[in-house]
Amino acid sequence: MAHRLFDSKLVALGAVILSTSCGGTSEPELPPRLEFSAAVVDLGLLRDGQVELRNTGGRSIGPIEVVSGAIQDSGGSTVPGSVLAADPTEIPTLNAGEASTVSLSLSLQGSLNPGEYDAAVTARGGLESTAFLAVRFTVLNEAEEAAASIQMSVPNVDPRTGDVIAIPIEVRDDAGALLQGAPVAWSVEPAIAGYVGSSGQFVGYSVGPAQLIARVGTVADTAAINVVSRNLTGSFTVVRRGRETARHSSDLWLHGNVAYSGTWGARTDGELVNFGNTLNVWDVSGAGNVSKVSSLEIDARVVNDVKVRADGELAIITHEGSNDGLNGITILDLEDPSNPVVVGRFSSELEAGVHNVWIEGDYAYLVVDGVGNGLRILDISDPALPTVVGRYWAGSSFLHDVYVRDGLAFLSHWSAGLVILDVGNGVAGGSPDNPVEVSRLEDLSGQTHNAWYWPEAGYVFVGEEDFAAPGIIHVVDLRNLFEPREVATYRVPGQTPHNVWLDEDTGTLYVAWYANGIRAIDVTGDLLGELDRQGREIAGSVYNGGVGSCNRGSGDTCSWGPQLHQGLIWVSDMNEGLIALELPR
Amino acid sequence: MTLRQGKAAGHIGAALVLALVSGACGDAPGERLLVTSGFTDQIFVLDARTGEVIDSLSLDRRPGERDEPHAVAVSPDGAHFYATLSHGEPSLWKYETEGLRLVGRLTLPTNGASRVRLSPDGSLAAVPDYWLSGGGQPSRVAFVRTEDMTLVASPELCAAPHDASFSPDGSQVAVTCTLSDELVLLSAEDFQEIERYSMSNEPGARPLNTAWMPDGRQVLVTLMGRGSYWGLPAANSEGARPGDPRYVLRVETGEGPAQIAVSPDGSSVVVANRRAGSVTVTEASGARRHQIQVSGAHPHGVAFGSDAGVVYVTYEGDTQSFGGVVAIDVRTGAVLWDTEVGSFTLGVAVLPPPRG
Repeated sequence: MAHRLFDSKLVALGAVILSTSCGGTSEPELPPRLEFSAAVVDLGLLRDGQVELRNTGGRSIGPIEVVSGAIQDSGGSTVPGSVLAADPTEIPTLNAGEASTVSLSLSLQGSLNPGEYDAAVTARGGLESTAFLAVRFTVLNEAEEAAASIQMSVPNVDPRTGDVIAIPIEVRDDAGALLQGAPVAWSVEPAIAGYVGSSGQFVGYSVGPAQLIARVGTVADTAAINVVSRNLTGSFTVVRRGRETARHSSDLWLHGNVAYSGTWGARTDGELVNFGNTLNVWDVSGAGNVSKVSSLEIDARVVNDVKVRADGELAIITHEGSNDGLNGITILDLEDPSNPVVVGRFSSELEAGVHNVWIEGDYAYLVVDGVGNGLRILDISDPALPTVVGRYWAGSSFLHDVYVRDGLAFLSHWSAGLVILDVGNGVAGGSPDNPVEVSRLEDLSGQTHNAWYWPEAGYVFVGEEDFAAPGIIHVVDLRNLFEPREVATYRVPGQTPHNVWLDEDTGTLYVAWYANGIRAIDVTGDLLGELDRQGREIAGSVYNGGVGSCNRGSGDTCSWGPQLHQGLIWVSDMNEGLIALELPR
Repeated sequence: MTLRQGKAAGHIGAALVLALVSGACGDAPGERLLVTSGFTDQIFVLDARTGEVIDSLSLDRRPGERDEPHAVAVSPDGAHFYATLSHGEPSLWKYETEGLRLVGRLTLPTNGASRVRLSPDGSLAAVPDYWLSGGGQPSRVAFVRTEDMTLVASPELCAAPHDASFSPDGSQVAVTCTLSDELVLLSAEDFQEIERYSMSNEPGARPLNTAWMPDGRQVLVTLMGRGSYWGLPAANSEGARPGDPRYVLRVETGEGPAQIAVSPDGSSVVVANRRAGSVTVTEASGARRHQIQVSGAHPHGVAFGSDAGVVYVTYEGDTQSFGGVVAIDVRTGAVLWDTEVGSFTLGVAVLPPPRG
């Protein structure tokens, strides 16, 4: 006889019926219960401490995720770049009555304004029990007592929400001498009106009048400021579609009049199943809906990524889950762009699977799945005979994505954060066959998924793919290549972001946000604080609707990645295929 | 595009509900199978008597990525089971059998995680780091104390260890080193190396998985690159050494043998031949009993339950089709049932009947 998978809801129903119709007689054990040994830990002037986490219930629980939140000042504003770390971040298991010590340590970026700060730690044992801990610490200023007067100078302009303006300030002692480096406690009234960074940069969050207050010791100055609307308007309009509903679509790349899109996972349609073993090729010339002109099937369950070299002559697609276990990449000749021809498959050192790829001239940068593998750099000057010339792994976690620009490789290295390599820039003497680490930024909440470097502005936009929290976009200031620091964030509730594309001409960041569709964010000017509170979203489109779960296999919106091409923003949608939208501005 | 075989899903589901309502309270529940679906990041639970899917668990830590639950093992007392997750940051998951409740998870200090094997008393789990893209660099076997899911040792052993199985008396661990063509025997007490048997005279042998004979005097090893399994004497058994060719049993199977299992009574040996798409059943002596062609692509996992007469074999499926499980009567070679379930269907273990 033969059976097959069936509706899980029916199984669940059956289980419920079973459990209610076969009554047990044994005494139920108390459920697990997580508790911290204190509700609040006040570190005072210390920068680390410990607390115990106990399971006071009657059953074991695990794994327990210990998550520390952002640091907030007394006004409730998040302090970018500074973090409270908890160690361990995951406790494998806690049996009934057992306790585990959790270490807390503060990593403070720059000199924080004097005052009290708060952070929270949450310990979650799945859905069964959660414990909360408040952590408080104090930052003192040493020059407080010397300060006798303070005066700030607010520019005589009304900033828009999101505009970052510097607030010069002078602090003097009794003798009228300037006090250099006096720590200033900044605040904004009302607190929701904006945020002032530690160096006295103000950014407005809401429209209307606000008070900026600068305090040093017992002296303070107050200035009025009026924040005006950023006044962004725009909307997306879907103008073209290319339907792929037999398979889930993955990444895309457009070149000339052709779009190439990968496929992902297993998609079922009644009795049919199709795996992500195919590269789709689309003709995007002309107007109206686009049609598939060819497809190429390879030995893979996922073609996660496709990239075309800038000259349009060559493309690379990735293999994961291949039948032969060799995975690797397939190199394609694009002499006829609509009908790619396989040059060859390369799998040496790539057997674990290749997740992403970047092509820069005669080199391909490959993301090899798994801890310990990392980056492989391939010389593809002879596409029929590629050779591995460079390797890099960050020493922990695994590499997820790579972006190369100006001789720098930006590695999205999951729990190891953002790692920047010199692969020919010269800043650290690196080259493709000798990649040299320039710097890294680990404190990006983990799950570092993708990055886009914008050299003109000096920022890197980093995607955090966290389906639980959910993840956000981090903005990293890289004006000093050796000291990357996080300065801003952007979040959309309910979903984690995925891939991005930056229109550098207009300063518009396009983010494919899974069920939240495609979002266009104004990233012009200096970036500071919580960008999502600054009226910077130009437009967002959940173009196919949906229930907010990126329900795969349905027609719901499920945006994977965008690309700006020939005046349209093209989105690879996991459920539908290709969507092209007119730009919102 | 592939046509999935079998009856309409809704009909089977409805039939199951009826069966649960009408018969479950009266019939003694039987053994269940745990099956890992490496591509959908799930473990499926099947009724071992019929092959019907009765439950599933999600181990999908990263819904946008592939996490690959690879192997599963049940504790000797049946109270817990353990599964490995190979991709991302490799981890070992611990579940209570009652209610299929997750009760522990440990991120492993390894590059990968293939099989999980338990000591006979269930106190230790061994998880090899099958580092296939490590360029031949040595990697480790992680030993985890199951009570509190604490790492107790992770000796660096060889290139791409894939299996690490405990001897029946719990004193030794047999480790297959796939890329260096070696079998290493470790002491389960201090994790020190006892013997290292090199197959360097058989380059490309690719030892993959192991199974111990119940008397502990011989360990069987599948050779992926040789289409055979070898029986090697355990270290220190009556002076025999693993490298002594006089004691090596060589048994032809089919192309690409993956997992191997010995029946609880020691009378039958079963091998899943991944590349050949078949299952080989032999006597303990190595004499061929059956060669069975499996309906699905790439047979992979093998497990016996308490009944030495029935073996369960998973097949991975391929880039065109789902995976699944077959139950085979090892005496007759007959396929008792065949269930299409999961994708990249790999590991299989047998859960005892639920209590109560």
